[in-house]
Amino acid sequence: MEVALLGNPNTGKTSLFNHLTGSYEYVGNWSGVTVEKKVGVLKNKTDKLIDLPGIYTMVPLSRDEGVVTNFFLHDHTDQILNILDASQLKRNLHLTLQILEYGKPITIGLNMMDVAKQRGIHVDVNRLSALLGVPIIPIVARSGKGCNELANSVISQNSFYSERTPVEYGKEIDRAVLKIKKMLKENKALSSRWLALQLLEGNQYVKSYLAEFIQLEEINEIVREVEEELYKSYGQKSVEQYIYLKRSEYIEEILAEATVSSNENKVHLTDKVDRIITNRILGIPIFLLLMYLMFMLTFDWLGFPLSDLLDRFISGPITEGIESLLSLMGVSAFIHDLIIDGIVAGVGGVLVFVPQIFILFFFISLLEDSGYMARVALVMDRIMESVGLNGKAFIPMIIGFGCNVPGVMAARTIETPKERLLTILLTPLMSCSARLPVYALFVGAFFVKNKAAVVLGLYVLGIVLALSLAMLFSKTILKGENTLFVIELPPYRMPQGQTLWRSTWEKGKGFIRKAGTFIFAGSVLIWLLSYLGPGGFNVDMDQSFLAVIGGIFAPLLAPVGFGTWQAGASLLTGFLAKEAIISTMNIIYFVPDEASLQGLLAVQFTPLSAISFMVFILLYIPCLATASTIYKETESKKWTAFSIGYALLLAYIVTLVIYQGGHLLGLV
Amino acid sequence: MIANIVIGIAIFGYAGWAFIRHLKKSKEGECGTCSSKMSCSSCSSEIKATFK
Repeated sequence: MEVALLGNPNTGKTSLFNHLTGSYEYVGNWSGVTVEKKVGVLKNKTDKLIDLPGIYTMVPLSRDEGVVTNFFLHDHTDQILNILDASQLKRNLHLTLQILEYGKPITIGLNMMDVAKQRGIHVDVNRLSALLGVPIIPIVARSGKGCNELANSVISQNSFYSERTPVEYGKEIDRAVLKIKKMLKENKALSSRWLALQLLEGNQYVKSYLAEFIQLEEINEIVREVEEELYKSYGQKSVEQYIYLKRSEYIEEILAEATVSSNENKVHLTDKVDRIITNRILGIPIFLLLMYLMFMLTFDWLGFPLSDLLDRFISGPITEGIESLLSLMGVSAFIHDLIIDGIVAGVGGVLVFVPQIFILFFFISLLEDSGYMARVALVMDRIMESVGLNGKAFIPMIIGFGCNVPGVMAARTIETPKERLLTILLTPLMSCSARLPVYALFVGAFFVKNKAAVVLGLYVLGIVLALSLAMLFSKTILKGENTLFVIELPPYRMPQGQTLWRSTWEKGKGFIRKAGTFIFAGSVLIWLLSYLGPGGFNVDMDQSFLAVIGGIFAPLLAPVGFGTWQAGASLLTGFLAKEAIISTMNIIYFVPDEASLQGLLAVQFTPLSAISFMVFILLYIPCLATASTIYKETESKKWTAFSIGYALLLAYIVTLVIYQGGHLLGLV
Repeated sequence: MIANIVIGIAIFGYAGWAFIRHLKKSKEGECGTCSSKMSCSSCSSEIKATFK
């Protein structure tokens, strides 16, 4: 049996999906976390649960919403599990009514009963169930309360399906439904009532589907007739609006019977906090302050001491242990150097930053889970609007702080092609976690007293450049209409320990896995290229193939402050994965620990060229995985090449201005 | 001598495999880098077709 999980955005579908299937999917409390369907197996090991993107209505506006409509048109589902936010029933039930019209058995999971209670809303679950004619199970998806009962209800097929369609739309609509029903008599796969109503609501996906069975002119004729009749009878110009009003009336009726609201005028804590956090003047300074605190924690207070400890452990006991094991086995100098100078230096050099990466991810998860991140999008909306985007585009960008790949994918939630493309092109400018070790290494060597401030500066530079380019692109190559931004702000919540840990682990585990796979492989390759040269084996590193390859780029990089073959070689490996930059440097400047590497860098770089190098790393190119995702999402080689080309040019121009400008100002 | 050969083959073999796998997965883009790839049918051609 296949069960489709459907509900409004931000109602806790993914939390419920994780509880019911025992898997872990990324959970966020803003809309648009799920941008494609995901399939999991229910705990009874036989039935499948399909998690679909959150939608308010089945009439799609954006590409991720189109996934849902297409699913209902072309895929198979035996049952629908509709999840509702008990504190937002008035809006949530619009979708429920459309699902009822779809004509498959439904079970409702009534989530966020705790939030509703806090807001003084009492829901009579039995009454609501009787009025809608479907089983309703109250749940709290975050904690898992009620989820087992819900699963049992779904698995035991207690779901109810009746031919009864609760909303009466009037004779005009009924006539149109009948006409379409007659025309579709050969095709019984889908509810013709649902198809007809969706068509009248302006669902283009349904229109295209119906055009396979009915002449397009006939379809248009039916819609036109209904429009005329509604205008004559009720003065209603829009069929869509008319259907919406009829549903609203019905929802008002059942809510009057099944819910009781008290303390409606009470100002909730969430609203009080929001007055400060989303304030027009204070909003952005508060966001910057929180980011600064996050970096202080990552780089100063906690992250550096922990990384130091780990560094001492890797360069001390672990390296010594491996050394003695190798001498015990009597391996050759080649194998010894490959392991110690290549693998231990390359992989170990990346692993020492694990504590900092995890602290950063923990903080990001904390901000997400508490409900703050959704506010950031709202706070940024005004600025984003002035550059031809809106606050919604900031959500993929925030996701991009973790990894650019899901950030680029999250742009699917954006409705217009122009804004979506702009967001896809600019998300790689957000500093992903793989770039963090480079900053950590350089701020530790050159800016010991201002570590957090320098890193904050880099993150802000990424955002400012993304916004400036958004303005430039939207006025030149990507002209088009702007859309309005509507976001639902979740109530503030006390983050839960387990959720926080899972969210941090899910974000951070990729970093560890990559160290054991690609960074391992890259370290072997880089070491081999530094060991071999045109002159043969075990050459001086300056005569190696790596020096030859890196040397090609060195003259180009000289004007921006780091014209060495070492920098050129590191940047080249960074295209494959940004973490590789640090492992390459560890191998090239082979030193026993991180502190010695920083000492060596102090000779090769100056504070000014270090800033220039970090800015170059921030901007210069989307990594291979991000570039491939951009290609998959845009389906355009031209835009993928553009995303790489503009980033290279931008990085070069900005670092040239920083380095040469800094020199003119007398900085070194 | 045997230890050298065994360790050498193991390291270069694993590194080669991991390198090629990384390139392949990165080129796949969205699905290649996703941890839930195995339990997810979004990568099927059917859902891809809906985006075109």
